Amino acid sequence: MKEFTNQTDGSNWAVGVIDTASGYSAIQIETEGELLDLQDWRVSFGTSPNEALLERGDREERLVIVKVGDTWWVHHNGHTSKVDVVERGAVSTFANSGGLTSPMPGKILSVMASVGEPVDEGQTLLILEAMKMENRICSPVNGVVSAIHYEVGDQVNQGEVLIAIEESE
Amino acid sequence: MDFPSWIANAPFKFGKVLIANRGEIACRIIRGCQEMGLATVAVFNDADADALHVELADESVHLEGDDLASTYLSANSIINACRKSRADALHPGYGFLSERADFAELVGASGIIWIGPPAKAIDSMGDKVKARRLMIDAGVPLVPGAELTSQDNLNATVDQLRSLSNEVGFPILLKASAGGGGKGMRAVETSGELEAAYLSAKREALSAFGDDTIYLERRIVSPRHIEIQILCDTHGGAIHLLERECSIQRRHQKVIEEAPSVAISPEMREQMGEAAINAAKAVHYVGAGTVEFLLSGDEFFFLEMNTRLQVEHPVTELVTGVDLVQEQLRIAAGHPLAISQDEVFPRGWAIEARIYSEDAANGFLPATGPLAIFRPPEGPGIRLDTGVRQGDEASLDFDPMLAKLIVHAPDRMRAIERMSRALEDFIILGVTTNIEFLRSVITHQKFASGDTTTDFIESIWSDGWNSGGDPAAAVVVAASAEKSGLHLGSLSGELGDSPDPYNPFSTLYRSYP
Repeated sequence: MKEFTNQTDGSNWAVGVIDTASGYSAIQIETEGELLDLQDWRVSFGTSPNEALLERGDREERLVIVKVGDTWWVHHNGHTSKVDVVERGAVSTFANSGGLTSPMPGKILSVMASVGEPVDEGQTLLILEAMKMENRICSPVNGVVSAIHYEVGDQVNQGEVLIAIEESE
Repeated sequence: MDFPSWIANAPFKFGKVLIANRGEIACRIIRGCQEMGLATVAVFNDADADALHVELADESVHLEGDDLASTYLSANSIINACRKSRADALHPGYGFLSERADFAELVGASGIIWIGPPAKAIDSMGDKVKARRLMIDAGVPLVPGAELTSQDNLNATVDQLRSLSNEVGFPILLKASAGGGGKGMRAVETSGELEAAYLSAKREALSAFGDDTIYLERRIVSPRHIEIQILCDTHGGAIHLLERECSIQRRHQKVIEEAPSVAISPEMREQMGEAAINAAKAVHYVGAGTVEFLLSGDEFFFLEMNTRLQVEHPVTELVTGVDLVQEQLRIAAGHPLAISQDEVFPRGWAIEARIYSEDAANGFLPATGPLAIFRPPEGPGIRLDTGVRQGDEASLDFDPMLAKLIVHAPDRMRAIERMSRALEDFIILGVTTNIEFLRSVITHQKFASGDTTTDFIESIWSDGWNSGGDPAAAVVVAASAEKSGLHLGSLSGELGDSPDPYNPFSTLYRSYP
């Protein structure tokens, strides 16, 4: 989970994103204590790093984005939003949840880490099949795997802790 | 020196024009000169070394100095730049030295052709009190007002202010004699507020213009701002080029202008045009100028005359088909006007929106930052006048106007639709702009119905304006982009930390997931 602030309305967000075969998907999104269900949203990027495609159901929208300092500038349908990346939240949210949780109900296809193994931020730990797609579950921090709660082939429910990581200092 | 054929036999020949300005207007003038076969010289200070106007001009001269006063505002530096580049004519643009009569005189005395009105006309119109007297003599209708006879003794002045205000009638507007752009101007509702308003207007006028003479006028409530573009040649010829309506203002500065105006009938246009020409003739005007009026019901009152090219001149150009910069050049060369009054008529409708780097949701405070993305709209009937391009920086050094977006369409409704679409497509990222606010104005039902007055913005958004949008979509896309790390591999994707964010080759070796 990473935390963001939308400057336009001052709203705070915690977002977990996974990299799926068809684009990026916000698997967990929380704003002001409210959990949103945006699992059918997909974001992909064009050949230019400034072009984003947002698919929501049967709608496709083009956005133009750029990062300046710690702020993402997002142009969408004539509106410009400034979204700040809140660095401190990135770790605390993860720590509070007690580990990496399952973003959606699905089946564990593969486990790519073992207990005691040091992992890097962004490293793929397991692959979860959900909605007929493979979703990579990546480590949000640099650390050491302290527990793996499921094996290949297991069915998991949304929100279950899959794997625990002790963050390196 | 070889002269282009249009000027080879003119009374006043010139072949190289120095543009004593910067930004969009310098670019606009450079292009006008180049189309007429004239060589162009740009001037620039340290902050503008890579600016667009320097790139467009045939040559450029650096102005040494740390501030505006020693560079763009320094008459001597500009004259030296003319000598250095052997420019034989000078176009002042708007702002800076354009309305300084002493500068116009100095240019002429240095043997350089001044592309503007005579120094005397600038002087007469620059002093608002003097201009009022001249207009009374010329029979031009004026807003009821009065002059203060002495401003030395505060108590006596305030007493006089009270009695004159009662004669003129509240609400009152205190204005600086040397004023412009809303500086040194205060609205006063009741007699009790007079002293404080007078003192603050005086202070502001002194710091802005070096002249703290204040006069008073009745404040016309909810007027329209209508102005008439005029052209006068050196042979006594004078025409007007219809009206512009510039009622949509924030903090007394125009943000949206259009031509023609929904409020002006052909009869009214004729009356106002005649009044404008009379005003110009009263000061023996030469060149392009603008006579500003307030319109209340079907009564109009002279406000002031701007003795230069206006920011909003493009709407007139699109609607009349007359290139005002090129007419200025012809007039300066001593040619008679090429068109007569009966050849001037409105062709369709034009609207201009001024794109500012400012925060409309936060009191229109100027904003700064890099133009990380600058993508203007395109398509039929769209004109963009700008002095910046992607990669430039919006700084506090200069006016926050980034660009003027102008649309032209067969009628007002279609011009509004075109402007709305163009604003929606205009993407500027990296600095906060008023683009979305402008679209709120243009798409407002009151704007569509032509119900436009100078208090439009403050009355509709009396509690401030807020941006709309889809916060969840913006956050999800930003979070995905952050997750993707695309911006890390590409310097053009992430600005602020990288040494050369604008290097076009920086994306060459980027890998895609």
